[in-house]
Amino acid sequence: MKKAFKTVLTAALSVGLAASLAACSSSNNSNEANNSGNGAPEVKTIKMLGHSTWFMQGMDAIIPVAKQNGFNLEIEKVPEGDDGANLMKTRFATNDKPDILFYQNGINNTHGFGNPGDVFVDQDGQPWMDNFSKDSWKNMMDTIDDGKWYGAPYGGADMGVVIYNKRVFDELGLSVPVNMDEFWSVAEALKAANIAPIYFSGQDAWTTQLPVLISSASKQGAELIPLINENKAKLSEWTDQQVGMDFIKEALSRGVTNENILSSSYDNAQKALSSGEAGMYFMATWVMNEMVSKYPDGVADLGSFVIPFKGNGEDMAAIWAPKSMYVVKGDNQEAAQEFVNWFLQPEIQDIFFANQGGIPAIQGVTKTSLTQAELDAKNYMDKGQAIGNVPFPFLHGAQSNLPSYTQELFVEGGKSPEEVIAAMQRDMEVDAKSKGDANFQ
Amino acid sequence: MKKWNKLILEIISIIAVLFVSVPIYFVVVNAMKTKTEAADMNLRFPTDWNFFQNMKDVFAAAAIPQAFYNTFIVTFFGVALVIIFCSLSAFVIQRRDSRFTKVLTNVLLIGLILPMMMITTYYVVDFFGLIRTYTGVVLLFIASNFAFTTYLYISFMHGVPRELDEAAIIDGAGKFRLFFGIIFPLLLPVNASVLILTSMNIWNDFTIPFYFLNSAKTYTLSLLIYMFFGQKGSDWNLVFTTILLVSAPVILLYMFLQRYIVSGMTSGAVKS
Amino acid sequence: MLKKQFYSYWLLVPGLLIFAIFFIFPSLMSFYFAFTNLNGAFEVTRFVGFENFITLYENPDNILALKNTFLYAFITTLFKIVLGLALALLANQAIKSKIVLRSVLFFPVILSTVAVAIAFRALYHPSTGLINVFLKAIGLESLAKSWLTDPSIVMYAISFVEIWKWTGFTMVLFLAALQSVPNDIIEAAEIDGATPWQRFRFITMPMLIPVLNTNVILSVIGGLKVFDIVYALTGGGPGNASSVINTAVFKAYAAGRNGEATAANLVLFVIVLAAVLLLNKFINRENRG
Repeated sequence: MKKAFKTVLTAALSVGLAASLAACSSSNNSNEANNSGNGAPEVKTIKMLGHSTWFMQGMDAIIPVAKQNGFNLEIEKVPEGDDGANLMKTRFATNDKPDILFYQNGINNTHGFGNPGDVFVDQDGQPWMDNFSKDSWKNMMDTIDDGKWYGAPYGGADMGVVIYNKRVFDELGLSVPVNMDEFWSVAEALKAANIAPIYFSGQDAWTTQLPVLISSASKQGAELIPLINENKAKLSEWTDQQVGMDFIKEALSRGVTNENILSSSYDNAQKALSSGEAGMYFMATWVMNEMVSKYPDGVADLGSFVIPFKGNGEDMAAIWAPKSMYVVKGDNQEAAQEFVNWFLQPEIQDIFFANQGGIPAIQGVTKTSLTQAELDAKNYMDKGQAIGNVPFPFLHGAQSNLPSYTQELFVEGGKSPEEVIAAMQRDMEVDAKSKGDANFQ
Repeated sequence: MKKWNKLILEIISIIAVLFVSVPIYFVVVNAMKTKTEAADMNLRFPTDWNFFQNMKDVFAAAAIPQAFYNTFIVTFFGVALVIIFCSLSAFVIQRRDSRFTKVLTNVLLIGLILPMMMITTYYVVDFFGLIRTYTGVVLLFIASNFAFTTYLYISFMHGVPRELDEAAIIDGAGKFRLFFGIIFPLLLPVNASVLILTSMNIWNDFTIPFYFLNSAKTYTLSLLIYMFFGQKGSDWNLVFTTILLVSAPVILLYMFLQRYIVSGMTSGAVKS
Repeated sequence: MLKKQFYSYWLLVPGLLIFAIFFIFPSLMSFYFAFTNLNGAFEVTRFVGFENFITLYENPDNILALKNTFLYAFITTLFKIVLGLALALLANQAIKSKIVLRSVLFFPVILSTVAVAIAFRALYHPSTGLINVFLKAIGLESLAKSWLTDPSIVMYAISFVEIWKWTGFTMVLFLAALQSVPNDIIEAAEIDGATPWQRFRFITMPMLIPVLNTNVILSVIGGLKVFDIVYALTGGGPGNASSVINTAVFKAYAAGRNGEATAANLVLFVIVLAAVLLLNKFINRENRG
């Protein structure tokens, strides 16, 4: 038995050694292979990195067309939220970068990818900018560090709104509220009819930020944040941000929410909303894309409105600028830039938007397939009743922990709105100090 | 022992077994169901046996073969090298009485306590250009299992009498034949335990692959479960199927080596 | 003493070298970086002294993480030891189910922690989870809690999963020690009229001390260093309710504050070291009795 053991071990070792030497070398080399220049004349391989749900019907339609035009797209998908973001940042830290990074707009040096100017190619002057209005997207898509434009728009803009089930509203004779009194009576009516008035998907912390980000979308932020960045004002003075947090607390105390909030996921929310088990959901219009593929039957029932925190038509919808594509400096940057310019042509954008929702940031796009909820939201943007959800970029990481803080608002004995804001202030100061910002010493 | 005493013990025993088996049974039975039935999350038998379809769906949605391959390579080499290096080191440390080996024993103790400092380890691995390579990860597994395994080997080495060494040397054995020919085979019970423990540690490890093998091509199975759950969390039947798939090899290895475990854990009283 | 060539230091070199470079060295490095502002791109711009530690201390979420870690280590160790010993004693009796007991109880040990965590997430669901469904079915609805989302019980719920998974391990170690207690001594004591309790207290227990030592130390170290199971079950949530030291490390790392993350890791090391030294002293004092 002992001898057999030894023989087997030795044999297995030798076989394994041979196999792995082959494997090790191939895994070590495959990272280099694609970047070592564009020797192959026709088809260029472009490595992309981004959250998995950002690549849906639109991209699926683009991939074959791209191939025909000489672009072989290799997309690497990471999970949603912080987990995926960490993976992406880690890759950059170790110099294992993709050719194009898909990330939130307005990357600056607090996001963890390094200095944008060192890492990404400046997009100013590129052909695609001919169809793009910098003024409309200032402070949303440029970077606060140096005012330059590193991101090219990917997909459409989204609006932060309340998505509601029109069919349920009609059945109960409810109409869209124009002030908070009306809002709460709508909620009570839904509750009486055994429908979850406001659905909160507390298990997925990022979704709990929405009410806060929506209430923050006002001119007050645009004026205060530049001062906050220089420590001339405190976060607590930005009262509109707290409105969203107080709202969460009030909804909880009135009992007009779903049950087991902290065990309810983003997916659960979509299901509840489309089936009519829930009446309203605070989300951005990007959710409609997923609903179209996962719960298509309910899509026609859904519409959207702006929550009337201020009332009197003063409320603005929150805009999420389109996601961005960043061309990463490196061996393959020319091909990547070529792709970006090709992709952002209106004719190609037509293909994208014919298959996926979103409000195009590129001018001249004629084919869109917006659902009713998205059209309702777009109305606000067209009327000028919308503003960026972070009205002015933050210089230091004030919002880096916002998802877990807003999640805590739902926990008994968790942070209160005041404590959340104090924690955010502290996070921002710690970040500023560690970077040596003179205003915060 | 009195009869009803024994009965009570048997009952307690059965309760303990149930406690452990129920969650396992839960995973197994729900892996066989369709998505809707699995969403109910009960212990009933599936009315619609969906296991093969679930397997197909999992293979289509997640790169299982690739992850299997990755995990296997890393585990195979990790375990093999851990066994060789640690037993060799233990051999020298235990047999050779010198100040150096005493210092080493203390270093091993510290090594047991020190947590793996991810950030600086990342720095070191990056310095050698080994991020996201199998080589880097194997080296990390060796390093992280070294202290515990060597310690284990040292305590068993006590039970192997030095007379054997002397006899072998008189017979003309060199240092390699002494170790691999005589000592190593005598460590069989320990080797089996180390084999299953280290395999288990490496096969199931989450943190090291999470930081060091974090691109889709090099995901290990632990990462795959986690990522899969993150994306398809509501398809419980698929999630449970994935769990079964990932656990299967270690379970098989365990069943094969089971009888060595208890005997291996005994402080080696090897009779000469 | 045999010729030194047979116990040549060269045999040590490969293993020791890897151990030193990839484990010992990074640990020592962290002793330096904890005092700098190492950022997400691994750049240091200045030496900050104890600032990182002060930041860690001033953040109330970290104090909670500290408390949670100690609570977790204590509870899991206590139950793993007590239950493990009880089960080992049980498995050492001449009862019919002892083989099944041994193999089944060790089974969870070999499963992947992440897999176990995900399975228990399903079991712990407040309305559809098996645990609550079962409790409601037998009329104990009041006990059906929000296991993973109620901050006051989440650490206990996580501890339970750890205990479920690892008790088999402590049991097996205890069992091995029990089986090495020579039967003749026990029989002699029986003949001499010693009660089962006396036999246990004066013969068995002293022989168990080394294994007890091993089990306690391994449990405590594992408990203080926990990450996988907490991260996979709750991610440290809800909010920060179930955060432990290693999830705090991870959070700082994710925010690009690597100096702070390293400092947290250093704090962990000091804590584990202190715990082990204390325990060693305590148990060895027992041993001399």
